[in-house]
Amino acid sequence: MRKKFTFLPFCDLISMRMMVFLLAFCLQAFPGRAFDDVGSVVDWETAIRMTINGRLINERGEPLSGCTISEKGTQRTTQSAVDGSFSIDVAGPASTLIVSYIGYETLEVKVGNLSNLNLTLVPSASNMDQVVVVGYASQKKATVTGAISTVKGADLIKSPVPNLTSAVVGRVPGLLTQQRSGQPGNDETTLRIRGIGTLDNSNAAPLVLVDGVERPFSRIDPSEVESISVLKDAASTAVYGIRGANGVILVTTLKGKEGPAKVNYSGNYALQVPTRLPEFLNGYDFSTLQLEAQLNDNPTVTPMFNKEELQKFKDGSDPLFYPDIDWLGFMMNDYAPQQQHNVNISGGTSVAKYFVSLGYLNQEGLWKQFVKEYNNNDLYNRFNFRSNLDLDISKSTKANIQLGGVTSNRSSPGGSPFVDILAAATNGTPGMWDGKVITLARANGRNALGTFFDGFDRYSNNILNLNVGLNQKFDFITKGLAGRVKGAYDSEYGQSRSFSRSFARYSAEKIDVNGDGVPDPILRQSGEDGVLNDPSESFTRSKRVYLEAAIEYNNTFGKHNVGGLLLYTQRKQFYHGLSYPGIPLGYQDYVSRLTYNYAQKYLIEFNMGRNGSENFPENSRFGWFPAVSGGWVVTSEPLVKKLIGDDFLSYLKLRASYGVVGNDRMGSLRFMYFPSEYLSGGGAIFGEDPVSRAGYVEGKLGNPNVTWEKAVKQNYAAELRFFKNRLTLNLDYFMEQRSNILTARRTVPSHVAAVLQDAYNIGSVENGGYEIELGWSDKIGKSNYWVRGNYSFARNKILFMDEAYNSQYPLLNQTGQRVGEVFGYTFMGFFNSQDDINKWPRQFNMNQRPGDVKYADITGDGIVDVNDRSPIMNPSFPEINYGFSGGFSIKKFDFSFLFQGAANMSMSFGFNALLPFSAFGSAMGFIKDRWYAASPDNNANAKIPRLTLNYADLTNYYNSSLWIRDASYLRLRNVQVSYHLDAAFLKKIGANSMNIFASGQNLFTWDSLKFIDPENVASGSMSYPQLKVFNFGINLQF
Amino acid sequence: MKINIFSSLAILSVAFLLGSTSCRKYLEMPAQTSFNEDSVFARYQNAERLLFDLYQFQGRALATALNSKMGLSSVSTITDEAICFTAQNGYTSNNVYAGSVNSTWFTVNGTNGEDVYDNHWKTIRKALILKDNIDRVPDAPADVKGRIKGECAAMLALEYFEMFKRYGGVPIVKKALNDAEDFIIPRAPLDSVYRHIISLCDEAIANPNFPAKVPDEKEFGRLTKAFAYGLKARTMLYAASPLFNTDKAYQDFGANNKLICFMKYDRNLWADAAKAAREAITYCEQNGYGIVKSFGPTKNYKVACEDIPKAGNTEVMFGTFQGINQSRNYWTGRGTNMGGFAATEPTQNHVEKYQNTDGTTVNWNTTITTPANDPTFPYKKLDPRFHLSVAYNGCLWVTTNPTYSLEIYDGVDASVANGRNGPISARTQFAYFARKWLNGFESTGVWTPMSPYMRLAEMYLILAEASNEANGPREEAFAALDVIRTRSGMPTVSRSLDQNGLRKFIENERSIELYLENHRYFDVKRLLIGDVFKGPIYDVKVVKQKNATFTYTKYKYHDRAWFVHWYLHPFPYNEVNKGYGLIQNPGW
Repeated sequence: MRKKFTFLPFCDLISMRMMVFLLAFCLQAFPGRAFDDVGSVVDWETAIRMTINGRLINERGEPLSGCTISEKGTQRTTQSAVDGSFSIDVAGPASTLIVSYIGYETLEVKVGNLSNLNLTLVPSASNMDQVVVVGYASQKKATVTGAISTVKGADLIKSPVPNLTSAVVGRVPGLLTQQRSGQPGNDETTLRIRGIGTLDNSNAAPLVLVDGVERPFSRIDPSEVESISVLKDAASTAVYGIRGANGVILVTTLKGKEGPAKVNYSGNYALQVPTRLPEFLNGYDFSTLQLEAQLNDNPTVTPMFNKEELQKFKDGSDPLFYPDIDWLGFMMNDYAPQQQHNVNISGGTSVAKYFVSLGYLNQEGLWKQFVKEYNNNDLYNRFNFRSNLDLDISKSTKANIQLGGVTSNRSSPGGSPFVDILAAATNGTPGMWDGKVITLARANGRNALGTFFDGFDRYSNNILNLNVGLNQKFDFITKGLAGRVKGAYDSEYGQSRSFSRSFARYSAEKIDVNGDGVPDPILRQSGEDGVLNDPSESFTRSKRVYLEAAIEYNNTFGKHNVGGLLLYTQRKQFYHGLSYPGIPLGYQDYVSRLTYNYAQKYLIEFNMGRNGSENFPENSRFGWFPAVSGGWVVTSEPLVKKLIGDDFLSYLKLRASYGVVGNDRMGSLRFMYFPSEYLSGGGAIFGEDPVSRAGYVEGKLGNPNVTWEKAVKQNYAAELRFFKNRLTLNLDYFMEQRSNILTARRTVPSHVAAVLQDAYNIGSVENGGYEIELGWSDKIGKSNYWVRGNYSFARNKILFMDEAYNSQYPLLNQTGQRVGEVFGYTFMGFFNSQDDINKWPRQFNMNQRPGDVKYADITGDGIVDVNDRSPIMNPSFPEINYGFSGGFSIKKFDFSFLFQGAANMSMSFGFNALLPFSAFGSAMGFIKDRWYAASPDNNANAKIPRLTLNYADLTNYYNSSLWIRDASYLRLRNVQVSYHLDAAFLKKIGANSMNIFASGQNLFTWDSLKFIDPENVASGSMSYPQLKVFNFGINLQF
Repeated sequence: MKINIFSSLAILSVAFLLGSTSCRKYLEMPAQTSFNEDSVFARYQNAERLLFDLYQFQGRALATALNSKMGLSSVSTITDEAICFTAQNGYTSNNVYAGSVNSTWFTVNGTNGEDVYDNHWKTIRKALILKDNIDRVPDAPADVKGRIKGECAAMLALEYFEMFKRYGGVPIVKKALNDAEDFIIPRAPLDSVYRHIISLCDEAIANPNFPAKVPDEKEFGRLTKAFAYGLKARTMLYAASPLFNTDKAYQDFGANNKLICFMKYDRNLWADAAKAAREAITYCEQNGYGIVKSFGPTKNYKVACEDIPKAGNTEVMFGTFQGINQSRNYWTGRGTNMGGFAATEPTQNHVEKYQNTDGTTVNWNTTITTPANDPTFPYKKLDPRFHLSVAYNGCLWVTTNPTYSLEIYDGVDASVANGRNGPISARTQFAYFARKWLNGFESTGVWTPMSPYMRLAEMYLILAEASNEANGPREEAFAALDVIRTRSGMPTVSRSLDQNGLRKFIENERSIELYLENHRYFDVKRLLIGDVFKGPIYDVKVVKQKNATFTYTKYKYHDRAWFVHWYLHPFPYNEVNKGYGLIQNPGW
C-alpha cells in the first residue's frame, strides 16, 4: 500500500531543472483558452469597441485583488490585479460590468462614457459569505463557530521581511510573537497561539500546516500565500486532536482563477539597518574604568596605566599601542542591501486553472569584508517556486496538483562575531594595522576579527512539497455527497559545511631594533595564513509521505443546512534525525465533523479527532478529542432587528466552544513508553599501573502508562458590527486547563536511583486571557480610511508540577507561578560604607565591600542566602501582544501603517554582556553609572556595582532585580505608501497595472531598555540585531 | 460519466485501502533488539562493564581539584587537622567555619559538598542489578559469577556504611526499584541498617569465590574479602562508639530517636568490634597482607599510605585512583604559589599531636627561637610521619636536592627579605602545607596518587580502641598500638596509661596515622567530642630575624562554629521536600 504512493521517487533529487520543466509545461499546456470546451463561443474578438480601465477597493480603501469583472451577457471576464486595478475590453458604453467578489455585494455598473472606473465594493449584507480556511475544509465565515483569525496574503506582502513568520507579527489577535535574531536566514519569529499552556515554552509551539500538510512555513515566499488561518480554540483544532493543544496555523497558497493569463511581477529593493546596537566604552573610558576596577580590588598594586598612557588613549597619539576601537563601527557597515523578486502567472479556464510563481530573495549581512579569500559576511539567498494547478476533469470531478519548492543558501562567519565583540576590549587592539590582524600583549587584547579570519559556515537547503488531490462529487448517489483523496510527498535536504583555517596574527611590541636606545614598534607574526580545511560536512534529510481520504456531505433542506465530514489521514516522516532514526515517525488520524445551522442563525458544530501517536503504548495510543461549538446570530432575529435597528447594531454573533485537545510531544522524545538502551560510560580506574575501564550505564526506564497531554479549552466570543458595518468589534475570552502535562518526575526518591523516562503525565497548567479586535472604516469625501487594532492577553499559572515543594520558603517554588518565571534576589541598593554593611544581614556568608549589591533578606532569618530568592519580574516571553493599523487612500495614493507592541515580558542581563573587563569582557557604555568611592553625588544615581577585575565572587552579579528589566516595547512595524500609475501610461508599456511603493519595517521602537533590542532576549550572548528595513518596490501586471 | 466512475472507484478504493491499514501496524514501535539489560547479561564481557561502573564514585578518597569535595578541600579542613584557604569564599569549609553550612552545600552538590547523597543510591542500584542478574550470564564460570556476587555484597556494605556514619538510619533497598508502587521506603532504624551492613559483610566473607586479594595486579582497586573483614570491624567500631551506642540521642528526636542511635548502651558492641578487628588482622596476615615495615622508619609510612602493592605496600586493603597522570598541582594541599590551591593546609593543632622520636613533645606555648640559619630546629626530632605528612619552613622540598628547601617566613622588617613561599605572598596563608601524597613527586609534573580507603594499620587502631573499651587498658591494646608506632621509629606506648589516658592516646594516634585519610571528622563525631571542631585553631607565625635566626610564635587563627545537630549530616533539603516522607535529621 505504501509502496503504491512512492510515486515520485525522483523527488528525492530536487532539481531546479525539474521545476523549470514543470513551469514550462504549465505555461504551454494551459494557455488561457486551450481547454475551453464550452464550444459555442461568439466571435467576441471582433465586437470590441472600447477598453475600460479601473480599480477596485473595499470599504477600507484597500485594493481588492482577484475580483472577477465580467461584461454582462458575454464571456468576457477578467480579474483585478494585486493593486486592485483591472482592464477589460467591452462592447461599448451600453455594456454593463458585473463585479463580484466573495464576501461583497455584487456590483453592476453601466459603463457609459467612462473609460476609467474606480469602484468600491461594500461587504455583502451578511458580510459573511467570505470563506475561511478551517481544519480539512473551508467554511463560510458566517457559519464559523470556532475561534479563527485570518490574515490575507495581501497584508503579508506589505512587510518587507525575508521570513514569513515575521510578516504575521501584530496582524493576528491571539498570536504572541518574539523574533530573537535578525540574522539572514536564521531569523525565524517564535509564535505562540494564546501564550503558553504547558510547562515548557519549547513544547508550546503550534502545529503548522501548509496546504493541509504538516510543513514548516517560514521559508515560503509571501507572494505565494493566499491566507494564513490561526486556529485557536478546541472547536477549530479538535480535528487535529492529539496535536491540537497548542493551536494550529494553516497556510494556504494561491490558486489560479478563471481568466486570461496574468503576469505579475513585483520587485523590492531594501536597505537593512540594525534597530539598535549596544554602546561600548571608548578606549579611554575603558582604560580609565579598568584602572579604577584594578585599584578597587587592591589600592596598593602598581596601576596598569599611568597618566601619560591614559592621555594616549584619549588623544589617539599612539593608536597602535593605545588604541580606541569601536568594534561595531569597525566591523559593521551602516546598512546592507536586500532584494526580493517575484514573478507569477495565473489564469485559467473553466477546465484548468493555474498559478505559477517564481521568487528570489537575496539578503546580505551587515559585516564589512575583511578577508580576501572568501566572503566573511552573512548572506542568504533563496529561490521559491510554486505551481498550483486545478483541473476540472468533469463537472463532478476535480483534481489538483500543488508543487512548491524552496532552495536556499546561507553563509555566515564561523563563530558569532557578537560573542567576540562582547569579549574584546576597546583598548585591546587597533584591530587591523597595515592590513594585519593585531593583538596586543595586554590583558584582554582579544581581537574580535578572528571570527572572520578563521573560516565560515555554509548551509544549503532544498525543500520540495507536492500535493496531489482528487475530488469527486457523488451527487448521483445522493445530493451533496462528495469524496476526496489527497497524497502529499515532501522532501527536504540540507547540507551544512564548516570551513576553517589558521591565519596569521601579529602582536605589536616595542623593541629597540636599531640600537638607538629608543624602542621601535615591531609586529611579530604568530601563525601563518593557512588554506581552508576540507569542510566538516553534515547533512540532514527528511522525507514525508502523507495520505488523506475523506467523505463529505453538505446539503440544504429548506432553512436547514447540514454538513458532515469523515476523514482519515496518515503521515510518515523518514530520516527525521530524531532518536530511532531507522523508524519513520508516524501519525494516524480519524476525523469527523458535523455541522448544522438553521438559516445561518442558529449554528452548532461537532468536531472530533481520534488520533494516534507513536509516542505512547498500544493501549493508550489513540485518543478521542471531541469539541462542540455553537453560535447565534442575534441580529438575524426579527425582534432584535426591530428593537435596535440596522443603523446602530448591524450585526451581532455570539459563539462559544468547549472541547478537549491534546499534545503528544515533549522535545524530540519518541516512544516514551519504551526503555532506552544501556550506554557506554562511567567506569573507573583499575590496576597497579592504572588503566581506565569504561562501564555500561543503565538506560532510561520506560513509562508504560504515558499518554498525551490533555487540554480542556473554552472560548466565548462576540462579533459585533455597528453603524452599517463601519465599526467592528470582536471579543474573545478563553480558558484552558492543561493536565497530564508531559514532564519529568522531580520527586522520585533518590534511593530509587533509576534513570527515569523524561516524560510522565504529571503537570497541570491553566491558561486564560482575552482578545479584542476593533476596527473602523469610513469615507471622507472620496477618500476611504480605516483603522483597526487588536490586543491579546494570555496568562498562565502552574497548578501542579512534580517539584520538591519547599514549604518553608514557598516563594522558591514554581508551582503557583507562571511558566518561565524568573527567580532571583531583590536588589536593595548598594552598600555605601562599611557601617552600612555591618548593619545589613550577612550575605552568602561572604565579605562585602562598599559598592557591593545589597539584597533583601526576604525570609527575615538574618542572613541572605539562596532561600531569599523569589519571582522578580515577568518571564521572557510576552503575555501581551497588540497591533494597531490603519490606512487611507487618496486618489492614486494608498497609505498604511502598523504599530505592534508586546508587554509583560522582561529581559535578564546575561553575564557575557555584563562583567566588564573580565574574560568575557568588553564593557558596555552604561557601566559609567557605576558605584565609585569618589562619586560627587555620593552614588545617589549609581546603577552598577563597584567595578572589579576579580570575578571569583560573583555575588554582585547573581540573578537579581538589578539585572532584569522590563522589555515591553512598541514598534512602528510597518509603513507603506504606494502610488498607482496612470492607465494611459500603462497602455504605452503594455501593462495592465503598475504601482510603485515605499515601505519601512521596524522604523521606530519605544521601550525602556535603551541598550539592546527588546526582542533580543538572549542578552547574555547578544545575537544578530533585529533589522530596520527601508524598502522600495514596484508591482507590475501584464 | 466514465471519468466520474473511474475517480469514484479510485477514491473509494484508496479510502478502503487506508481504512483497512491496521492502525496498530502503521504506528511502528522499536524492535526489542535495542541494547537493554538482557543484552548486557548475555555476555560476560558486557556484564563486566557494569562491574567497572560500580566503582564510578569510589575514587573520591583523596581531595584533589579533579575530584574534590568541600569546594576543593579535604573534609579534614573542618576538623582540627587542617584548614583551607580562608580568603577563598567559594570553599565550602569556610561556610562550615562560619556556621552557615546547609544541606545544599553539604550533601547535594558534587563539588561543594562533603557527600553526594544520590551517588550512594546509584551505586547500590548498580550493585543490586549486577548481583541479581549475574547468574544469567551464559559465558562465565561459576566462580567468576560467585566472586562478582561477593564483590557486590561488599560494595553494598560499603555504601550503607558510608550513609550509616553520616546520616544514621536510611532506607534499606533490597532490589532495583522499577515500579512506582515500591518507590516509597521509610528510613530504617539505625539498628536495622547496622545489622544490614554486617549481614552484607558476612555474606561477602562467607563467599568461597570472593578472593582475599585481587588475583591480578590489573584488578587493583576492586573489593576483596580482606576489605569485607575490615569493613565489618570498622562498622562495629562506629556502632560501638558513643554517638550511636547510647540510650540518649545526641539531640532528642522523640519518636524518631531510633533513627539516630540504638536507644540502648551495649558494652558488648566493643567486644564485637575487637573480635572483628582481630579476625580481620588474622585473616589479612594469613593471606599476604602485612604492616609495611621493611623500608626503614622514615619511609615505611610513605609506602603504606602512598604506594601500590608491587612497590611494597602490603597493607592497603582497598585503594583507588582518581586519575592517571594528573597535574601534580591538583593536589589541593599545595600552596597556591606552588601551583596548588592551598585548600587543605595542616594546622598548628595537628602539628602538636606529633611527639618527638624520644617520646617528648615540643613546647609551643612560648616563642621558639632557632639557632642562626637553622629554621627546622623545632621540627627536627618529630615523628617521621610528621615529615612525610607536613611541609614546613626550612624543610627539604626536593629531597634529592638539599639546596632547595621551603622558605615560609616573613622578614622581621624591610631589611630582611620575605621567604619566597611566605605568607606575605598571600598564597599559602599558613605556615604549613600538606605533603602527604606528594612525597617523591616534588619535582615532577604529573602524578597518579593512590588514595587508600582502608589500610591494615587501621585494623590495629580499631583493635586497640575496641579492646581498651571492652576490656580496659590491657596488653592487647598497647601491643596493637606499638605495631603502628614502632614501624615508624616511635617508642612503644607507656603501659602506665589508664583507660581514659589510653583512649586519648588512641584518638591522637589515629589522627596522626590516618592523617588526611578522611577519618578524623567522623572520629570526632562518633566519639561525641564535637567541641574539638570549635577550635581554637592555631597557626605559627614564622619570622626571620636580622641575625638569621627564626622565631616561631604560635597564634590563634580563628574559632569555628559547631552545633550539636551537626553530629549527623542533613539529608538534602530537596530530597525531604519531595514529600515522600523522608524524615530529616534533627536540627536541620
